[in-house]
Amino acid sequence: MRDIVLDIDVALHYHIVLQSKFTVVSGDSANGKSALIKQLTEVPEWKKKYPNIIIPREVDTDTVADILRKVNENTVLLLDEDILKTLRRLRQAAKLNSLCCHILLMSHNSMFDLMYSYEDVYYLKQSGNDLTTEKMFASYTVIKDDIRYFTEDTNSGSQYYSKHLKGSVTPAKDNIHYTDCIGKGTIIADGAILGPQCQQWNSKGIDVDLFAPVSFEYLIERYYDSYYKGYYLDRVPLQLKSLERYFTACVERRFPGYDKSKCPDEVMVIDLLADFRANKESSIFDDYCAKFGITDKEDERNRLCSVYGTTDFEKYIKDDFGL
Amino acid sequence: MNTKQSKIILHMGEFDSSPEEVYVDSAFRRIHKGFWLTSDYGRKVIKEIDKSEVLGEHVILSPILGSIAPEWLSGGAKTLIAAYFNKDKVYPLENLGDNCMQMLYEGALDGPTHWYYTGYIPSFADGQLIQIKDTDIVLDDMHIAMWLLKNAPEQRDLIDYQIAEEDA
Repeated sequence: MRDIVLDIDVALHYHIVLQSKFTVVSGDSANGKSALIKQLTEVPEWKKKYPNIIIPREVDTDTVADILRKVNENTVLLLDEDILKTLRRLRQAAKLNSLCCHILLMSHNSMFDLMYSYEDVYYLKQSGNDLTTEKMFASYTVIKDDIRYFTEDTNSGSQYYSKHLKGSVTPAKDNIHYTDCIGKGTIIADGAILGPQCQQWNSKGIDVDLFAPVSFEYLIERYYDSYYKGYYLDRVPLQLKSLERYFTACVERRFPGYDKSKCPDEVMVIDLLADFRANKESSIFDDYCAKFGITDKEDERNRLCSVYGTTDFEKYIKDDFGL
Repeated sequence: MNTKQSKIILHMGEFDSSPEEVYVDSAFRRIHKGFWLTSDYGRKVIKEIDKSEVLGEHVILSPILGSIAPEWLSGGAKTLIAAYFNKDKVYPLENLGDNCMQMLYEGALDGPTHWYYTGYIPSFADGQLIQIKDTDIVLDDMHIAMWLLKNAPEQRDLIDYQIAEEDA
């Protein structure tokens, strides 16, 4: 997938960069979500300028099928809250996962049928008449020392974490919900599809200790191919349902016969978590904290993740602050 | 001293709502009555949430968009106003952002407004009481979130129940 930039100058100036397949715009009422849709649908000038933006005003099963036929990788499908409600009711929402286009969702509510990451959830930040998107969630890619960890299943990731983390690792079994683990330890989950869950926790004001890299296979691929330490979404085809599947395919290519139920012996002996540990060796970030006398490193790390829009912000602060 | 309490009634899922309530954002143009906007509550909602001024029953002055029709109000403002004037109807809580909570509180001081839950819940104002429909359970803003997380049906289950009921 490649980035699509929407620069829309209506009464407000919207600058929205669509980096992933799904971009979820959440946030307060009256922050400009609906105004954008109304301007695009009702002002002919904007309809003409952005012919690739599809904004369905009503949907039924037939129109969903019609949309599926129409879209391509240059298309942006813009869906508001009412349309999303209908798609949920028609049980058609999951079909969006297979679309080969960018999908911009304007909604407060979690969409549990859709496979998007917490990194895809934004709010509109207004500065004067300019509206830009900012990530809603700080990064969950730092793993802290804890006494207990909970994993989603007993698969390869869980086996790996059991060996490499000091605390006990408990795989969730059938029907054990994340809710049961909140407050009891750190939850380790695949960030690739954790967007709806994070929105729901956030909406209920519940703090969760979470380590959520894209997926365990992402950690493996990132270790072997440093390309994945930077911005890598341009390698991922839009029609893929989720990043989780993309990285599983990468690992299957790297380790022919890879089976998710068993972590390869080669992987068990390498340190996939080095870059993610909260107490890792001195880094550019530590130098930055020392330079500015920052004591609450966790808070500052989250802030920088949000400011730079990535967990790999060290390269930026190195340049910006001459470290 | 003001001893009035603000209580809303929370329904699980949209079973008790008509399409005009579920899709109140789109339907507002058809259903709203002029006096809704010029009432004290309507004016205050529009002022607090949309930062706009009501000029008349059909015109609002937005600092950014200029003169606008009522359907251009934010989804949150439209939903709050509709719920205030239709206390026997059930509206989607998911339409309300956190900045709507104070007006939700004020809108329920004269009598409970009805809302339905679909998995999203905003951060209620201090002192807001929430009664779970058809039960004696009344929770305050501090305890509602954890209660819902532990007891409310999942989003998918709510849709399944709804479809099953419609089929039956």
